[in-house]
Amino acid sequence: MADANESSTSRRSWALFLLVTALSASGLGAIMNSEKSEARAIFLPGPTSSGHYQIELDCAGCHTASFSSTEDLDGACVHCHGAELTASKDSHPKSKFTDPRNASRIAELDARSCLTCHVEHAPGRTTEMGLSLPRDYCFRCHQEIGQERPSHQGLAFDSCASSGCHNYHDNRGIYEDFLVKHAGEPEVLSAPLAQRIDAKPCPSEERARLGSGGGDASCADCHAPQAQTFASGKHGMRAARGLKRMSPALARLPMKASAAGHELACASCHQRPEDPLFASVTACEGCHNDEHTRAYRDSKHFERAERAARGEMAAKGAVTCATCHMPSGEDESGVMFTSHNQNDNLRPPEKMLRSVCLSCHGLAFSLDAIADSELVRKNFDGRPGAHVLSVDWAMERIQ
Amino acid sequence: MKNFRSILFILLAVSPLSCQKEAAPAPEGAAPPAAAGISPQRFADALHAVMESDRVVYTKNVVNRLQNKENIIKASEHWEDEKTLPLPAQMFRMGAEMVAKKEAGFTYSLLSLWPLNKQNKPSTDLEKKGLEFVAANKGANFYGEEELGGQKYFTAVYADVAVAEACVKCHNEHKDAPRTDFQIGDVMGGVVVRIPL
Repeated sequence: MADANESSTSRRSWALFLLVTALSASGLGAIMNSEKSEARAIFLPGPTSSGHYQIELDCAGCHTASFSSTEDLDGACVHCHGAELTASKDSHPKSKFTDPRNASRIAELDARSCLTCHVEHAPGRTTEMGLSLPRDYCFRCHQEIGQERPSHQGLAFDSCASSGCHNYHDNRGIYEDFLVKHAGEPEVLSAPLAQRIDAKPCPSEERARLGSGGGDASCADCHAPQAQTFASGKHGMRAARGLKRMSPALARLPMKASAAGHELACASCHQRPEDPLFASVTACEGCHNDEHTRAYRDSKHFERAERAARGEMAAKGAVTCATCHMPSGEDESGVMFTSHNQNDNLRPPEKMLRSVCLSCHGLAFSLDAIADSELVRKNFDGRPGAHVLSVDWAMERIQ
Repeated sequence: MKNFRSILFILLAVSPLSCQKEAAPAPEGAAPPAAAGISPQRFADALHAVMESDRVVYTKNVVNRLQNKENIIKASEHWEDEKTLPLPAQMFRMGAEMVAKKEAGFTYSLLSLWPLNKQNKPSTDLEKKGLEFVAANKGANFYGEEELGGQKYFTAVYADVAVAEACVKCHNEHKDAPRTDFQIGDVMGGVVVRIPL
């Protein structure tokens, strides 16, 4: 009799255990598969990098067909960053490493996969540019550089990617012949070439439509490349993935507490077309509260922007926040537009050389300026305290 | 909390719940296994015949004619920035990279014992042996087998000969030139074609 009772209790315990397990599993599954639920945060195995933290709850954005296959994760990287890599004339494309002759190098560093260098959810070992590998990785394939370039003898391999020297992917502004071509340029060029596109006021009927709730979608009807680049940058990437819009409260950079709850949309910055400095300066200052932003109004760049706004000099000579962080470029059909992905040309900072700095400054001066982190903090109010040797070394090789 | 998250993550990663899509079936009309109708050597020779012909045509009829004979446009390494023609070696490598992206069942590269870019020197024993062979035996090709990354390859090496003034001038005068006495007709390097076995 006692045995029968024990057996019945045991069966009930098992049934209860199975029921709880099944309910828990289906509950977790529902959270996992629910559309961008904030509750998904419990599944994060660790904080994501500064490039991805805004969209980390869009799990399926990276974990696509299979959850953890390298091939699928790489595919997700390329889906978002492929066009940028192509435009950057990627110095180390995957196709270089699928060549069997590089098999011995692959054994050292599998450069066929993005994940070899960029692992997510690993904050303890992730540094600038989302790199999760020790910074001396160039050593794996370029041990002989000291013999090929006497100037490089004795240099530490963790200094290769120092500002103004080399980048793994994008070397468009620092390749050797480019350094030679721009050597000897003065600090300030005689004829600044900055190209700004003056924002044209929306036609009245469009403004009426915006006022009636058309919002960002209405803007995108006429400003497709601007909307597309906005969706790729840190201001618009959350909304583009169906997540709650970005707001300063969600930012990792210092923001003004007074702006914390503000949600970012086109009209956040584009609200006073009559003020030439609103969308390009004032709106930025409304949220951003870091030293670089706060120092802007003391800089010569702002002096020029103010003079241009007063009509005392040509608008193309003005240097606003947008001049540097939202440079103009061409869309697929060659039409000029202002990029609204304000992170793009900071990745890496040397990307800014060609799209921005060299419009007004010589290359050597620009390299020194962006290599001086203190000067960057002061928003370039002063002279570079650093000197990048790359132009000097490039010139030595041709003399 | 962190441990709990880690355990949840592991459970979900191995759980069927995490499989959002089933594996796609093999596409219809996929190529059948390689038939035994053509030998790797014949396949490599045929590929090289196309590569060499295109390379000579571009070098002679485009670059050498427009740059050296008619002085219309130059060819240079940074052809996009400088609005010039791609160098013949770059033209060849761009094709090789595009083929590599297509995973077409073979790879090829342009290498040399005297490369301007040191990344284009031989990187395997067979490449070195092949390049030395075609440089020493004019008109002869080199064939061999090698194992790279756990995969066996049929590897063919063909001489790359200076066919125009543009070839020797650029290579002899380049600041990174390891050899400066090339003449038209000299073997300057080799085309390496690899076919997995």
